[in-house]
Amino acid sequence: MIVTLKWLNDFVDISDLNADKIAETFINIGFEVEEMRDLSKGMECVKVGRIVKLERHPNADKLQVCTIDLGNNEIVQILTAATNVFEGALVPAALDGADLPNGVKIKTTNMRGLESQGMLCSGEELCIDNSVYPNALVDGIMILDESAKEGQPIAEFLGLDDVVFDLKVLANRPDCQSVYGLAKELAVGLNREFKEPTITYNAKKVDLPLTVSVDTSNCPLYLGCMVENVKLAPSPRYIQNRLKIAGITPRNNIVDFTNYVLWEMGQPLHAFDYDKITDNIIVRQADEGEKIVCLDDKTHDLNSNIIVIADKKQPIGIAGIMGGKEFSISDTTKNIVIESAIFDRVSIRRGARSLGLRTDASARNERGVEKVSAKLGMARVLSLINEFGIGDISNNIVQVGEYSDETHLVEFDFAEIEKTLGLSIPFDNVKSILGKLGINCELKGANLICEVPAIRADIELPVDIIEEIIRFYGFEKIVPTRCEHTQSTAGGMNDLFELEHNLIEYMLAAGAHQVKTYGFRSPTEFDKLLISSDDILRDCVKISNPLSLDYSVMRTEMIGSLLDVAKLNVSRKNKDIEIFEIGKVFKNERDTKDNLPLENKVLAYLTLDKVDFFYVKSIVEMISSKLGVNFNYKSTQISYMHPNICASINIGNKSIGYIGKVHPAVTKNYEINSDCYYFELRLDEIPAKKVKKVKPLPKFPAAHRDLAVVVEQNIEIGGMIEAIKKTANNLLEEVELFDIYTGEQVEKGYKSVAFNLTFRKADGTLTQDELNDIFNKILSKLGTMFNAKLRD
Amino acid sequence: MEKQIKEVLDNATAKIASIKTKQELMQASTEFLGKNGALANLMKGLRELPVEQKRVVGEQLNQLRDMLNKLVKDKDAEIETMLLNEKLSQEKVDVTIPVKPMSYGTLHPIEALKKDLINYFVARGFELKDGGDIETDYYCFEALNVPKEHPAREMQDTFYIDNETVLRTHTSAMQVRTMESQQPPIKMISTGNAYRIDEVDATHSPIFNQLEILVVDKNVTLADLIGTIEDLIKHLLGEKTEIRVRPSYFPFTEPSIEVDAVKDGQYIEMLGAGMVHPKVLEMSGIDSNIYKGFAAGLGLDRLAMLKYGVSDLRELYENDINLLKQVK
Repeated sequence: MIVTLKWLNDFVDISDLNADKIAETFINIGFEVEEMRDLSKGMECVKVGRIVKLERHPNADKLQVCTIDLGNNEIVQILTAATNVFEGALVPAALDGADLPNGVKIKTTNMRGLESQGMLCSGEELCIDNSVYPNALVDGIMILDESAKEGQPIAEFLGLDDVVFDLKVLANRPDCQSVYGLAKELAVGLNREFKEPTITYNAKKVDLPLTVSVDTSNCPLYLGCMVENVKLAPSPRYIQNRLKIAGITPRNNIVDFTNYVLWEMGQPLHAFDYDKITDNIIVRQADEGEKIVCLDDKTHDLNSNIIVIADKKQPIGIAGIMGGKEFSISDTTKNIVIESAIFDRVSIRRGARSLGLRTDASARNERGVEKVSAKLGMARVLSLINEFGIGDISNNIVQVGEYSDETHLVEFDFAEIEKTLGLSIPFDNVKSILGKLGINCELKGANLICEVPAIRADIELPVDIIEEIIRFYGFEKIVPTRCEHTQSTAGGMNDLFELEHNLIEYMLAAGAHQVKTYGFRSPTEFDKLLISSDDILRDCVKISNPLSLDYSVMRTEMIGSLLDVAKLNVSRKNKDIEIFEIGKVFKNERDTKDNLPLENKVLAYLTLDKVDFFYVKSIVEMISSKLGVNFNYKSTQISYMHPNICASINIGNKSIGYIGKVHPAVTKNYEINSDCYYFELRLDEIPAKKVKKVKPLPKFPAAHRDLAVVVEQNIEIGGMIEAIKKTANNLLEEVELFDIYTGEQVEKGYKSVAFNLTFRKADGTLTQDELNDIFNKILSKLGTMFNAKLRD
Repeated sequence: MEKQIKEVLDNATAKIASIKTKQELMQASTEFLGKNGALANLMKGLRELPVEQKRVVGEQLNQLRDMLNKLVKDKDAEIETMLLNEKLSQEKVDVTIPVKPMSYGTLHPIEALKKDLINYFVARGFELKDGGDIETDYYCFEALNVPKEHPAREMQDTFYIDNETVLRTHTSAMQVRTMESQQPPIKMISTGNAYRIDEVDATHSPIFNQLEILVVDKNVTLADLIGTIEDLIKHLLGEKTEIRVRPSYFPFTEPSIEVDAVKDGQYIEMLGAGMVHPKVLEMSGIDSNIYKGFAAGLGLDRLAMLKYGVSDLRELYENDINLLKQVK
């Protein structure tokens, strides 16, 4: 919301305060200052001067010597090369010390033997255009009209001696979407008197009839007033200037006044040409397919959710949003209707949305305008019409709908203030603050009874009153405390968090770098990952209003996100690409409790650096060992993984993730040319870590035996180790693979596999016979299961 | 005989003193102490001596043996030391040669901040709660006193999955879920992603991270909230940091505040907070006549940028290894 220092000054005397003080006050009472701009910046040493004498420079053909009267008997001499100056002209004179808006610094100089005590300015040098002052952009010096006074600061003459604030008005304060509302707050913040605007005017009985009927429940109050014999003209300069600052283009006095009151009082108004209306005014829902050309020169297709102002033939305007072009104020307009109404804010919001329109009026109507404002806004605009003698105002304002400016009561235990704030505030202070906000209050026994004006519809509960009190009493008066009077709680986190935190530690120890990626992605990713059209991974949660296709579906897998990170790092020629993320994947399957899509946390790891399946497997095994659960691995196939280098990671028979080399065709789709390894673990499938007691240290010695067998090349080592463990039962302490050999000494198609076996008995030393026995059992088992033969 | 003994000792002393190697020492040892060595020769002469001298000379020869043994032993130790020193002198390492450090991974800046905050609050009796990124309209808005068509919905442009399902716009959604599931005293934090329609640029991201803080009990006041936040901000930005409390508006808290950190004369927007709105307490099944609560929501992205000196928010999500590696 744009306001200016001078505009605020209409309502509260702040002429003695600087802009910083105003900004600070607004911040302290809850209005963030998003921008603060001094319009006169650079014009401090520029004054209006009258050229009283104009002579040729004796030594320079192109220079003229101007004798400038700055008023108060101050005369200076300024030289200029401009040719449009003349004796008697009023001009902007930048004097010694000026630091112009365009960056030029002005000093007294000597030009060809004559002193020049400054510079006459063009509009361009003051950084203004024709919208600020007519003919500001003429070639040469800006010539001012006779309303300028010698010696007057140029900023004042141009209406630029003002500071603009852009304030953030929070959603609960629609009443502060106006200079009036903000000035009221400021007055309380500064503890100064608030001056109500002029809302009195002379009205009379007029000739023309005006009837209004409201045929919709979405217009609870409609006020219409006839003004006859209007004299259209440009509006006064201060009004034009203020509208321009607010970003509104001045049109004519009537339109400008309605816009001015919108900005000043926060009440959207509309004026339209009475003589173009057939019979009476009807407020109704639009018909489907109805059309209207609005002030934006566009044809809008209406629907039944939109409210229109119409006559019996057609819509006159879209209610609360924008007026129709045909009925707008034009040069031929003679009699007008001024409308000040309240429309249902939800209808306005939906209507504006469906039309793709957002106007100053709709912005206010969407947030809600109180009925009391409609009356005030109408009175204010009529008072302006009266003040400038623009037309004859009807003494009969047509009103449809009920209106009252009754107050509402909020009553509560006075002690509640201290209970909420942790600060005791004397009743006198409470009464004074609320009183300035227009809320009368009194103590009745222990209770505080507050009478809240209708305009403050946001105040309904005791806490709302308490907030108003502390907002102006000052948060800085609260002495911070540390929950000393609350009960103690244990705090902590659940198993899943515990697991997540542990996994992060393990991944850090493995040397991987944690990344963070977006959970929504592009559906084109499925193709890049070679995911088949009937794969469940394609069944994803879709965002109905995504930013773009790239961010339109919730991911069903993590690998795409990590491949994108790898891609970026590869493109930057970065090394050590070893990354992980614990992120969420989403299933298009709803839970029974809240009917929400299922979310699962997944640990995903990817490396382009450690290009070795077994290195990556060693990380997974480290995790297994740290968590104290055994993982097993089974070859498996996943569309985006290498067909022969990929395994499911399982606990028992349950798959909890997978590991392998990323399919080279997939890595290529991510513009990665090197080998890439990946694993992921689903957190919800991993049991909580339990603290286990350590095994007692062995009392009896271990025996070591090496076992080397020859088997067919395609036999999986994992299966052999399982068989060895099962056969040896509890006598086998450890089995370690130490060699796999293919080559000259082994028949083609076969491999030699060597294990180091550690045997130990809990209750005694193993004898040679026992050892031989178990060793032979293992050998024969390997023989029957895998056709293994002892290597010579 | 006495003269001969002295001669052998002198000879041995002189000879062993000049020895430099183990081999020479071995030879010298044989020469003086061996089976046919100087000492053995003298021993042979002992036999021819008269009995009364035998004892005296015998004693002297024994002393000679001890002295010769000591000479050899000392020399042996000397040579050992010499050899060791020689070996050590060849084992010199240039300690200034740079090495590649043993790799230890790094946390993502936001996650590092999260971890710090979780530790901070868990140690202070807060329970960490997890919530879904996808939330019902009810928990994200309705139960937080933001009915449909409430103007506050305009403050948070929302991604919708369907009419009743949204990507949560704030972690505040966890407030009601927590209060529904347990009675006070409640001290809860929850952290995770939040989503709002915002184009990606240097200061905006459609996905960002928040930390939610909720305390509900009897005797909880706004002063407690301010004290809690003040401690947190000092923890994050240093003991010398001051805070500034400004009024604000959130539909689910009343009074609502915005807290800025004041550091080196600069105001840094930190978080929004307030006393839990009585309507929110009631909707969550908590008696607002008995209990009060406070809640705060801290944005982690900008804070991580501040902490690690990252000037462009996009850099936090593009995950350049060379940036990640620098996180301590």
